[in-house]
Amino acid sequence: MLDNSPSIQFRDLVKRYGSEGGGSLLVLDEINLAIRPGEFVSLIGPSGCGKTTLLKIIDGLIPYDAGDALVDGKPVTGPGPERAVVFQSFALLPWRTVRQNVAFGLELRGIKGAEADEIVDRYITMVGLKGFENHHPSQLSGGMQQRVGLARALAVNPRILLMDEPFGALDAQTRNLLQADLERIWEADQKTVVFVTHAMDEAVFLSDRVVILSPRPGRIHEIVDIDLPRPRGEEIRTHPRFVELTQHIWDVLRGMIVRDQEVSA
Amino acid sequence: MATASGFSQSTDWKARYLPLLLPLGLLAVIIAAWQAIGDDSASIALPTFMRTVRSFYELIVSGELPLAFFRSNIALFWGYLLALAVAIPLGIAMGSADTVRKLVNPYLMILISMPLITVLPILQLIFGLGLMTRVVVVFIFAIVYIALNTCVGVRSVPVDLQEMSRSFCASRRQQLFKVVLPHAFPAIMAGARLGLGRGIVGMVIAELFLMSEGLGSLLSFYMTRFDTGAVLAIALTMVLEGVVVISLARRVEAALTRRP
Repeated sequence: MLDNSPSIQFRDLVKRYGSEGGGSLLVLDEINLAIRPGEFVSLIGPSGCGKTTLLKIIDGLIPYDAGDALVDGKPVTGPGPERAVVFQSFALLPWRTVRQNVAFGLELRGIKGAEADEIVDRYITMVGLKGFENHHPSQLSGGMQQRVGLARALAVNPRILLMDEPFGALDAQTRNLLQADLERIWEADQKTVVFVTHAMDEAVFLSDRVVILSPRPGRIHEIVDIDLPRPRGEEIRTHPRFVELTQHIWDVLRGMIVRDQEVSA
Repeated sequence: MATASGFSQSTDWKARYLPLLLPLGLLAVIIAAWQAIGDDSASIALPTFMRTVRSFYELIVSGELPLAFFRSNIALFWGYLLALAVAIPLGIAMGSADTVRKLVNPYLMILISMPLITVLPILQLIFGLGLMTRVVVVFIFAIVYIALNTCVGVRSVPVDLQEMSRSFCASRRQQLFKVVLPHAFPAIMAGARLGLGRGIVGMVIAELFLMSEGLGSLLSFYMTRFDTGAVLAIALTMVLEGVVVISLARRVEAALTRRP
């Protein structure tokens, strides 16, 4: 990047869900956040804190009500080629093969033939799915399907990768493996990543910063700097600082959830 | 001799041939009963199986049945083709836009629940005594399920797939052809099959209740001559056609919608 001006910026961002005839629900309350190019930022928080909403606002999938959402200094008006999303439900097209799914974004842009094949092959290999090009999603495990989702997002070469609890539907072992793979893949070109998750250890393992959001309405409660060295391998999970950071985030989250339950009791 | 699964050879034999023998056996019983009950002596009694077969043979050899069959099925062919050409785009429009769906739905509901026979005289007044009316009848019978199933297929696209394609900047047209229609394809095929069945019913009704140059008029002709064997042979031809066409349509549908 030529300068350090933020890749993504929220200024006093407000989002409401309206209900006809009733009061509207405040989902995000004056969010202020700046994400630098090449930064890996996680959004974590209890259900209802608006982290997925924030992600969809960055991608231009849903509108916002007040304040600014800027990507590369320009207001977000809709999806764009510099951003790509990885979905929790994988969102693969079941009638297409792995290769055809990975090629989807390229196809939409008119990139076909040998040029597309070369890109598709490169990313299929990168996510470790070589040999499965002609399989259909129903023939793959959850972890493999998400690798396809990741390859599809990377294939369009976005500057910003948006990941919406991508490993949430997977078992713990697969999750750990994919976290390590994602970290390795990210190290290669260090895109800007916004990563929504429920899991504290996942956030600490992957991120440069972890943004903790509090629910109802969604607000930034705390931003934690992850001062762990990179690249990070499996051994980092037992690093004392890793444990300390994970514990701290959990303490904050636990406090929020307990308080929530006390209020509703 | 024991097979790999441990079953004896005789059980394998039963499993392989029984599904074929049972229906054939039942059919043989029905035909035998028919032959026994039938009475060829009186002209207004139920003709025997053999008498019907003989009439069938005679009608084919004389060329009357094939010609009538062809003439009747022209109406099915054009009516069904027209129904597909109109109902599939209509179903897509209904599935894509709520206002369209709410506008059109009541009329489709009427078409489903109304005894369409009552409309036939009106259609004959409007479209005349010829092929056109029979084509319109087939059309009206066929469009309902084609349109409804297409609409359901289009509306059932999972939200995450729609979001995903939007996030990759797919235009509305790209979304339609690359996500919506492939997803809706099995539903459209099912609707096409159901519509074909209804279209055949429409063809037969048009044959029996309207002026026709095909099977209907042939049937009327032999009815006035009290040739019950011929009458039954013609009626069964229509029934058989329906059975064969539907089962073929089922196979085509299954083959086209097979997913790995």
